Amino acid sequence: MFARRAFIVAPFIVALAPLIFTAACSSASDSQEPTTIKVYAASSLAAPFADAGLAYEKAHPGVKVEFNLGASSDLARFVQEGAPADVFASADVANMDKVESQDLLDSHSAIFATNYLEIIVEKGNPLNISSLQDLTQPDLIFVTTDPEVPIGKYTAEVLKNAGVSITPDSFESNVKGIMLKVASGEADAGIVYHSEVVASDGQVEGVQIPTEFNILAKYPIGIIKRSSNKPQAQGFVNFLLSPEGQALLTKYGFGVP
Amino acid sequence: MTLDSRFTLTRGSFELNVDFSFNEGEVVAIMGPNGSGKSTFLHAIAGLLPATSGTLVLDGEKLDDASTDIFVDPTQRTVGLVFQGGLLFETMSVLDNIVFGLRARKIKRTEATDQAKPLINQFGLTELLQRQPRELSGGQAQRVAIARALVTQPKVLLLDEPMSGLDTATRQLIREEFREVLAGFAGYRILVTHDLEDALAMADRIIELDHGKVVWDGTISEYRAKL
Amino acid sequence: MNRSRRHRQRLPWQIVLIAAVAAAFFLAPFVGLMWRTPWSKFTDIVTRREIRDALWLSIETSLITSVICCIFGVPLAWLLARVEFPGRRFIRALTTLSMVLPPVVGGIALLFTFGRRGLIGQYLDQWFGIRLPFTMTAVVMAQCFVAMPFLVLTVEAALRQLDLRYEGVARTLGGSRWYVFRRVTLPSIRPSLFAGFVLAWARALGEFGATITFAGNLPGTTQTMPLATYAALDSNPESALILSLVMIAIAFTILIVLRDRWLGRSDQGLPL
Repeated sequence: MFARRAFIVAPFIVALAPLIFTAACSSASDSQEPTTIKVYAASSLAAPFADAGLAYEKAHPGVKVEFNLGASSDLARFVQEGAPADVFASADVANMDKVESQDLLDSHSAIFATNYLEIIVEKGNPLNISSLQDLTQPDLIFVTTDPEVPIGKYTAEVLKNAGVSITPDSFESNVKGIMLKVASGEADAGIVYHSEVVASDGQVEGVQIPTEFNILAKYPIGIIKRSSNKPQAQGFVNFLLSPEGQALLTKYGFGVP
Repeated sequence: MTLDSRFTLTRGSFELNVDFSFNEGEVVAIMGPNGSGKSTFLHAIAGLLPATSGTLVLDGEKLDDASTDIFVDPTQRTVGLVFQGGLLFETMSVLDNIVFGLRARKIKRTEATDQAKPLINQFGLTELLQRQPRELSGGQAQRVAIARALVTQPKVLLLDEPMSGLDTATRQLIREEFREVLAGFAGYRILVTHDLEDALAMADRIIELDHGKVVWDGTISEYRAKL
Repeated sequence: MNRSRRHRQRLPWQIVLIAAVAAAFFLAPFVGLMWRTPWSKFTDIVTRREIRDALWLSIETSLITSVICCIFGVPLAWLLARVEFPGRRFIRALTTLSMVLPPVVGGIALLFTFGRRGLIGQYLDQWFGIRLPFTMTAVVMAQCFVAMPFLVLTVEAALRQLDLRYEGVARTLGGSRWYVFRRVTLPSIRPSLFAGFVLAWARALGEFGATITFAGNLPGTTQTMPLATYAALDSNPESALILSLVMIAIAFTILIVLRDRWLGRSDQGLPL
């Protein structure tokens, strides 16, 4: 009889356990007052920021770094609409300007990283792409992003520099979308940041773009004015600008300003 | 010529066990409480349920033989089925209902209407032809249902609780009509009912079922004597 | 005069109040949208190439999808409702799976199955030269994947509620299975079939995640209204507003015009 009742109650206890433990833990650590800084960052910063977040948390116990990754244009819009971001790291100056011009930043933004563009193709380069011109083949499936998304705008610039005209087959929502389509073999080529090629760890192959056509993407970072965690936010930004932070960025293929 | 029903039909935990022979001269009423197997029996004759074992033979032709896997489709069995309430096809007119069996045999509409004319007149349905089933009274619906069943000239006429749902006055009227219809029908006539008065008024032979077994089988006079 | 006064007194104000809050919650976003709409520029924007393309593409693909859903969904619904076969529960669960999944997941599944390198897609490419991603066909497939369950469930429920004796009578009258299905079964589930069609159409019209993941996003070919709205949000908020309004207007029209049919004959076994 008791066994049956216990059997019925058990699942509820198991389901509630996490809540009970969290409540217990948080009441225990209440004395420490953990701070969480919310960092809104361009998707291309995923890999280095993951490492940076962990490193920063380790060096500053009691601080948690939370990331919201996405297309810089989306993130800029969220910040404009009042999202609770503490830090905003964009993949281009234009999207940071959207935020800065509305006086949403605490002082000015600073460039903390750079990135150059690279053509990506399927592993093994079956179509033997070696130049931007090769991308104009009629049957080739080329994907990019909406021009509002930084990589989309940069791509258009690079192609214009080279005098190459391509009609994309799809405008993905962010740079990760391009990566997915090329890595899975559904698209033949795309243009992404060099850091993405590094982060992909061999899933895609990179083809160099001649320096005279290439552009250098500048990544600005800024602290949001209405943030309630400014000291820690500043701390994180400082970390990124420090030798340790910059080393993390270069490890993932970024350049330093 | 006979209709021999010697079969067992199992549905889940219910088992219907029958062994009788009908001839064209008698109107048979199958009676019994709900769940006794009356409807199951009708469904079996109509070909809507296969027998689990045994045979069903109509005029020497096997309609259902469980041992040799013979089963004649309801489409091929010359059976006319009239359910309680008429069960007319709601999405078509009265006329379309009546000629359904003929049109199913690819007979063109005008020809089918001509073929059905005698029955339409017999049952006084000429004015109702363009109406929708939901506009009909209980009695009218029942007449249309019979006309529909008879139009294909079946050899067996099966009636499932034909008077159910009708008020007493209509019942009397319809009962008389049914008696005439049944009397004029040259084939096997089996009617299922739980109403004793209906049975006494229309049948020559009464079979009582209970829990799937036959508990009484005899003529109407024998039944009256029993009462 | 007396009657209406007494009737009004009977309405429980607590329920009316809560219902009013609920209604306001639904009404407010639309009012907000209309308030921000640049009405003076409406015609200019609505006739812009991208918007016309997106509109036309959405309507074309969603209608095709709805028809396909009917053609394939009705037999499936019939099978699930009428035939007892091993694995029936499994198949039913599979059919409705896409209703529960986030659409992007559906898109990824479609991509890795029917994409150029997909499980089935690779053979389509190698043997027939058929490449599905980035085509309008892919848009229709994505929409079918998410919309079909609505039709199947609606029709299956209606079929289950049918009195089988009607079909029994029809068969004894000499109707073949197909004839009976065509002239008795289908007409009797007509309201539910219609409701299912409309539901599937509405779902297809609003599909986003699976479309962008499997079919891609290209104005004129695969950029349906929802995709165009999202794309416009950053670059051209006015277009986004107008597109949203157009979609709302279409949905509203569908709901109002077809309300009677939809909520009509309850004796036909509508699950709604």
